[in-house]
Amino acid sequence: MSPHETIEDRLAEALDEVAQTTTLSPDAWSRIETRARRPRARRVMALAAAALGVTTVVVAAVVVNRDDDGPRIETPASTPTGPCELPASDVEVMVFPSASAAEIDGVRTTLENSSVVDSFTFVSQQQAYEIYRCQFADEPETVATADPSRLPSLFEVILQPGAEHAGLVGQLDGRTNVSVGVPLCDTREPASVQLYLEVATTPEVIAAAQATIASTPGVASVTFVSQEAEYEIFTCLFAHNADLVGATTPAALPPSFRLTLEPGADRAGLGTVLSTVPGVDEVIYPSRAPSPLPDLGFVGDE
Amino acid sequence: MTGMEQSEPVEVSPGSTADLFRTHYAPMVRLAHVLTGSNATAEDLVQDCFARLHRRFERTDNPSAYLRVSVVNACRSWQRTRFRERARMRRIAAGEQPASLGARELLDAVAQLSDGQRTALVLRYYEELNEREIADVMDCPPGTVKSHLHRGLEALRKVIEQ
Repeated sequence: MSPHETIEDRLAEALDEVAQTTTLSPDAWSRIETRARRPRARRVMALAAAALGVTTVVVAAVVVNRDDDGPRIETPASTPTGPCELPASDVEVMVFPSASAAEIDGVRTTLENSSVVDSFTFVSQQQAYEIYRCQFADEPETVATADPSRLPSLFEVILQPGAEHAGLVGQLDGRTNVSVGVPLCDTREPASVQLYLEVATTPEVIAAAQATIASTPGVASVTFVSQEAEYEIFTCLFAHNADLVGATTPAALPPSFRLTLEPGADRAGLGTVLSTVPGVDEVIYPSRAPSPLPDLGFVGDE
Repeated sequence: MTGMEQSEPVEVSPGSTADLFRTHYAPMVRLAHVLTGSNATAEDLVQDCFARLHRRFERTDNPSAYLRVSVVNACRSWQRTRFRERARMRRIAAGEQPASLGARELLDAVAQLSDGQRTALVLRYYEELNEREIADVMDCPPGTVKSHLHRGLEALRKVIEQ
């Protein structure tokens, strides 16, 4: 850069230099279509949302149990409890399809060597696909568009009684192709639909929205989740990352409504209707079925 | 890759999200890349914005303006909640640091500015918007934009002088 250039010129050049290096994914449009069909959780709350809707899953998986000599691998001790149920977990580790065998083994080794892990269950991609199909059996179009090869595999981890999760999460978080969620951070009853509101929504708008939603046919119950409550979950999820927690305030997180629906209610249809309620920013359909979205790795990256 | 011809074929109907995708996807990703410093993050955020727009396209008066505001807001939101230094190190490790030495220092300095200052500077000196247009995108008074630009440039000057 010439010493005679102004700071404004230099800045414009530097910014343009970055922009010129931008690359675009060849499948960008298909990704957008997928997201438009199934809205994703917000980035920061993505893992929390994934952990909210606990339903059931059948998984025949390898289970590792700890004994006096440390963790050991066993053949499946039992089949989990019912249809469409993921194994219960305190910490959930997603490993994305692009992960190498070494990266998967790295997670397994970390869990095996961790002093806070009581046991863990591995859920393969194919098993995850069966779970997904089961959970979305009422949405055949969704299932039809799911690509099994894009699903993550999972390690469902149970901690030892009283053990803190932050150290283990800190060990795993940030690894390439790995994303860590902490189901123990939100033990509330699962919601069928979660409606995120605009961050700056006023109390009056919230009250009006709640009344509208509660009176919508098909909605069984509505629970408001304040920014402070969302923040409590957030601080638990990111307990291993003091900088992130320190940089985030309750005001940065969106409040939400958690809905349960009446039996037989059209979840997707209701979500579409409720997305138009003033103040509602985004509709999330929580599920513990692994999402087939192609770029879940982003969550792990952050 | 920089051209949209490398994306999958899109069936276009006039005034559709797909139509807007053809004309605006690449520019919006570039803008997000400049704002976030991460190509991968930029695509992720912009795809989210397109998906959101798609769901409310019929209810949106000015889709392209909505899109730009969405992208800027998404980038600002992302910036607020990210662990900046870690992301920067990851970007460097991934070889995504493209700028020459002087530009890199300048961009590092931009990354240290306040959210408002950084956004205003990018919209002014990359998007080449005027203060009124920036105020519309950032949903703040033009005077605030002027202040962001002034203080942001002052901060950059100090870095350069050092």
